[in-house]
Amino acid sequence: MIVGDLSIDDWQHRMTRGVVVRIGPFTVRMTVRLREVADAMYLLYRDYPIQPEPIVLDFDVAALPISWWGRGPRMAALYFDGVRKFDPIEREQALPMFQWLLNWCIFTHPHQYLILHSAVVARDDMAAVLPGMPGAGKSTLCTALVHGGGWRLLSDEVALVTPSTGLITPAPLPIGLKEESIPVIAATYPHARMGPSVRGTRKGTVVHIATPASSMAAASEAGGGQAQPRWIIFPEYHAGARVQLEPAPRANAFMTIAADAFNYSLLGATGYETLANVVDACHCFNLQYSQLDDAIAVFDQLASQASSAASSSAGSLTGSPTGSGDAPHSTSRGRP
Amino acid sequence: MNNPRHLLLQVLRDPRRMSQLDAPACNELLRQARMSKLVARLGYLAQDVGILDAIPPKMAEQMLAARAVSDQHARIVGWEVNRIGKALAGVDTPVVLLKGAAYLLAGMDVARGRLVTDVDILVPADRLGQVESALVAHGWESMKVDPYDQRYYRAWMHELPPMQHTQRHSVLDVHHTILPVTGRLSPDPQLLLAAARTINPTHDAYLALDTQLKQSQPAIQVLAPADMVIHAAVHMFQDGELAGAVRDLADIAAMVHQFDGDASFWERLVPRAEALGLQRPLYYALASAVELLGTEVPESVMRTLGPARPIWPLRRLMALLVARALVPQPTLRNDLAASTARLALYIRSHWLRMPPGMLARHLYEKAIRRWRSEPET
Repeated sequence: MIVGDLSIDDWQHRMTRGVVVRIGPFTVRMTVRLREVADAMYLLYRDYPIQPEPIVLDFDVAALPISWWGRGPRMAALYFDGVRKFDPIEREQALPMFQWLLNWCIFTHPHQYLILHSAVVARDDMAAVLPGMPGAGKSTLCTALVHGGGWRLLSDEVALVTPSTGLITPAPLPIGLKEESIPVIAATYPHARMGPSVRGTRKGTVVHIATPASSMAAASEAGGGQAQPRWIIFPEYHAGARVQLEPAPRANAFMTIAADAFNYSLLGATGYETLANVVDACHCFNLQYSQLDDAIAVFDQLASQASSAASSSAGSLTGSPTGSGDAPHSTSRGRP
Repeated sequence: MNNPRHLLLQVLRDPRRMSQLDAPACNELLRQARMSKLVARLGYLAQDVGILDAIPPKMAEQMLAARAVSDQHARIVGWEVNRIGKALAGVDTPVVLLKGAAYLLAGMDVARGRLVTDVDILVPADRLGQVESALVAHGWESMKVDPYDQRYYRAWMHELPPMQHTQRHSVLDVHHTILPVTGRLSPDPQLLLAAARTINPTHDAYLALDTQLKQSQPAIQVLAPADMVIHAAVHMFQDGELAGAVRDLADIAAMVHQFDGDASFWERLVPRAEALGLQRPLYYALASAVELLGTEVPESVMRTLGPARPIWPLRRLMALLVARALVPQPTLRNDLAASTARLALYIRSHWLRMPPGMLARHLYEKAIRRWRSEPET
């Protein structure tokens, strides 16, 4: 069953008591007693599977109103494990803050993965890793690839790499867009479902975009939809620039990604080896662009080159010691 | 004890129970363990009794993920002790590791899966000045710049104001005794220092120290077994906040279990507590470990501690408060009894720290400063 199978009233009612939604490999119980937030999430999470309880949870989160007996600004509080997390927030900010709480859960807990800070999209089982330099237009490009380029979303924020296999597990959350990219995406991809726009957040005006059903299908099963990293692409938006794809030195790519990762040093030698395998398995590029269509064309070309190379001689394009061919495909989770 | 609120205690008492839990119980256990920083420890306990494959995979996975964190802490602490040894190479002083760093460098069972956020060391009071300057010369600095805080620590506490390394940001507490000098109990730190034993750490990160330095660095020591248990008891029942302190009790139980094979440990324990004047906290620690975690303590030990017990109503009250407040409960599940117990234990911990007049002055000063700093934020 997916969220969209419920009526909105049923969803509202269930959210007040807690409903378990699967986000990639994670079972997340969400309790939301803020009607407008639950409404927005009905739209944003329409294609996410609902898990019947009882089930062992990864995260238990909540967003609840704070009552001042009807006085003062309307506030809300966020909870993790039933304990209040972060300072109370203005109720208008609750939707983006709750999305951020979900991201925070994934950033800080699942150390069975090497957790890199980057967007990840895939064509078939070939993944492109887009490291998250702020302001580089990672989310905008990611949205374009997913809604206009036939790529599936693994995540807008994290690459979850399994150390034993080098594969990336999808855990997509609705992509957050900010400021000037909002009208661009709205105009270019009118079929992308957008949540309400929230003004005055730390990042200015923010809008979330529903994860498309096509990205959810593979990610919905536990351990499903994994992809082999094939490209590391550092996107850089430059107004008016012509699209340009240049090879990037691997050592630099390694260092940049390591410095920005969530648990690279926490995993010690495992972190180093896992990231080295990812970088070894990938072609590394800097991508400069101003037009989203041009950027999509570059990605499509990379993908078609890789598939034709794979059909003639497997893995020769990547020259990779950790190509998907010889990597064991069982996950560390040991689940069917 | 069958209350789901005590699930964590039940599982620490009998780790095999983990393989019989349904999903809601697993969630409750993981929640209690996360709040008590015991998720990785549970993973080791499950492994020890051979049920890591028999518990729900999602629970096992979270336990192994938490192990990555405790492994990192172990690496960091091993290296910190290495650096502290280097910094103090020119100072003629023993360096006695306390608590987490000691368990880890001495290779004790209790260190497995344990999170260690700061390093605690004990040095003789008359070496404090030299130790502090040597640490400052090697990049540590005091975290408390406020003159009131400085005076509070230096005049009343059992340690220097916490120090932090400017580059590695690790926190180091330098103790000269194990309880605030203003408190009701004042054990003689000379006794602890004299009985401390030198260890030969085999820890990887520690061994990174080059051999030349090793010649001149001070001996790395840990407390004698009985003193270790007594210090943990003091830390839990005399100095710290009891609320949510399952981890502290689990530490005590694990140490007692490890030292249990050594007959002289039990022979020495109570006389040692008497020599240090710390029978009361030791009594509370052992009685709680017996009652809540099923720790085996020889009848004779509890009998000799008999005179140290508080009178019956106090004893009952304390046992009730500890049982209520030990396992952390979510704020969403408002429980008046548990929060009252926590408040009572909080007041008790401050009561034990300093005489009433001094406590009033301290709280007044804190309140003034909070009020003054408010307009700025």
